[in-house]
Amino acid sequence: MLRYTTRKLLLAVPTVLGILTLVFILLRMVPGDPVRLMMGDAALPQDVAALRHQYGLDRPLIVQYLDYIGHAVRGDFGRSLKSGLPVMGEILRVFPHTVLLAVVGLLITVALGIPVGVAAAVRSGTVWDYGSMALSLVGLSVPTFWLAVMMILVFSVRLGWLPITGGGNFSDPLGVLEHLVLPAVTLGLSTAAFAARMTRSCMLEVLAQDYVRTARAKGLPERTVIYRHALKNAAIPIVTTMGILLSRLLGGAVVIEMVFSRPGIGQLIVSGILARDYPLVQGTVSFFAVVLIAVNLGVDLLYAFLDPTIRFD
Amino acid sequence: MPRLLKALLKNPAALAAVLIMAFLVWVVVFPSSLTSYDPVKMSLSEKYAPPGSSHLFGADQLGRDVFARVLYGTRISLGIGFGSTLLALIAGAVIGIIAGYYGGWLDRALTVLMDMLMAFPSILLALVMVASLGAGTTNTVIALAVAMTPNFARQARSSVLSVRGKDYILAAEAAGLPPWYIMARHVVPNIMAPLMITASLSVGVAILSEASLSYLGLGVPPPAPSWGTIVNEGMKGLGLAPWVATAGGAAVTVAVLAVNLLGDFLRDVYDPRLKGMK
Repeated sequence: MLRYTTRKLLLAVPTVLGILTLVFILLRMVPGDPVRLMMGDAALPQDVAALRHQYGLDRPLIVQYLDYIGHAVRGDFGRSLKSGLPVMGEILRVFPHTVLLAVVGLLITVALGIPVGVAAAVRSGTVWDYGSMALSLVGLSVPTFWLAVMMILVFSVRLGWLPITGGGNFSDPLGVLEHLVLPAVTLGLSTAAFAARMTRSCMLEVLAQDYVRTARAKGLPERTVIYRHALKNAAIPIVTTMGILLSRLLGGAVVIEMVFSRPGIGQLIVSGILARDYPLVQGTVSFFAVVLIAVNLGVDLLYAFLDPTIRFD
Repeated sequence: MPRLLKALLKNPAALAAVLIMAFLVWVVVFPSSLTSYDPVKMSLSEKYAPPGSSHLFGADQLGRDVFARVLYGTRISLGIGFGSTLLALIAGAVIGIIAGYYGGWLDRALTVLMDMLMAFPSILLALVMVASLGAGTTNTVIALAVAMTPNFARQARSSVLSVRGKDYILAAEAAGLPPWYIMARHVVPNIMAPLMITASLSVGVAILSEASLSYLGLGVPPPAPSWGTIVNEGMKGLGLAPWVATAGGAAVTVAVLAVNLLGDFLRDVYDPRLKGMK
């Protein structure tokens, strides 16, 4: 296990560098002038040139790249064009809100989605199965931002139970919780549909296995068959697809933060794009990508922990 | 084809989905047949008119008829949804075929690139592309296509790998046929089926992503009535006029549901092994 972990950690280094490079390239796809875009067409050429020089955007691309990588690995993503504040500082300020949203959202997703998926697989072909899969299909078809708007309409506007926007101050835990409920529930519901479908297909595959048939033939109570044999083994493919689930969850979090005007990484990214704040977008997307890699690494390690056979891959 | 029709008639959900799709296609081509209102015409005297006899879905903050906006928005949302999926299908197929056919370092390099792109949530990738390219209809299509290409590439590559060693390919190579010919004439037809299935499942995602981008103000620019934009506009007067936001999102849900049902149905018919899996 230790060897596997070390190997994975070492592999993570070039992966992180690769992703940072990819982000750098993706943001410079179009040979346009970001400073001109920022300042608008009415700007004087000398002002544009001065700003370009100030931000080092007139240097050759390879120099810009090396400078970016060199600073990025030390956690320095430069300063926001709009606020002048260090990007990393902004990220760290809002990161706890995103983590809170993602963790609670994940808990809701797992608590809702996995049992439904398991039940649907066990009762395959019945009303229970078709019904829950139909419901989850609708859940997959509903846009997350719209679900959020409808939740706001019902719970904030009409009933006035919960606040509409903001994330609350961490010095006031109850306020934080108040601001967390709607976003987390929306995120959880939205992703639960996906989780239910995924769990169902994993369970179905396991239930078709011979050892399940043997367990039933031995006369074991159905409960033991499901929990002791099927579920334990289904946990492995479920964990593998957890990576895709987390990706969806984090993507959903970005949109949810915007709808609820909640501070967070996603909100930072989108507002950065809208303000054409190049360094902010670059820094936040890079940070987000690195977090994703870390999370996927965690999933890989969990997978290896559950299934010892893959440690020898 | 007849197998398809028979299966369709046995499945009420899929049948309903086909009818909804047909209706949506009609709306794309002839939106004026269902409404006499102009989706961008403002009429401030009718600001926030509630749904009723003169406005089926009510009016928005500029007095525009919401039903008309939703109808004309179908063109945008479905057009971008299908367009970006098609683009991703082609791009992904090309990449996957090249990677699978040639193998070696090219395959490894392309696979690593695709894997890295797949690590991103698709909305994030689309956002990054929009950050780079700017907003607007064409750029939205490109952004969404880039986000969806890795999935198609991976699917295509895996299909190509299973076809690669087949006798008819080896025979063609032995006969001295050029690689591009072999790829076009022999490889492509044999990998189309799983790619079409992936495509049918991706269209829904594309429509949702376009709506999300437009909601954020990063997709199709106003006053174009993209469904996402309609929901965004509906936010301002949510308490006064909930019908605006409700109509926009409901349209997306219905369209995506129909597409997903059809996709599920097509997958069940053409690849029953995958039945029950997603």
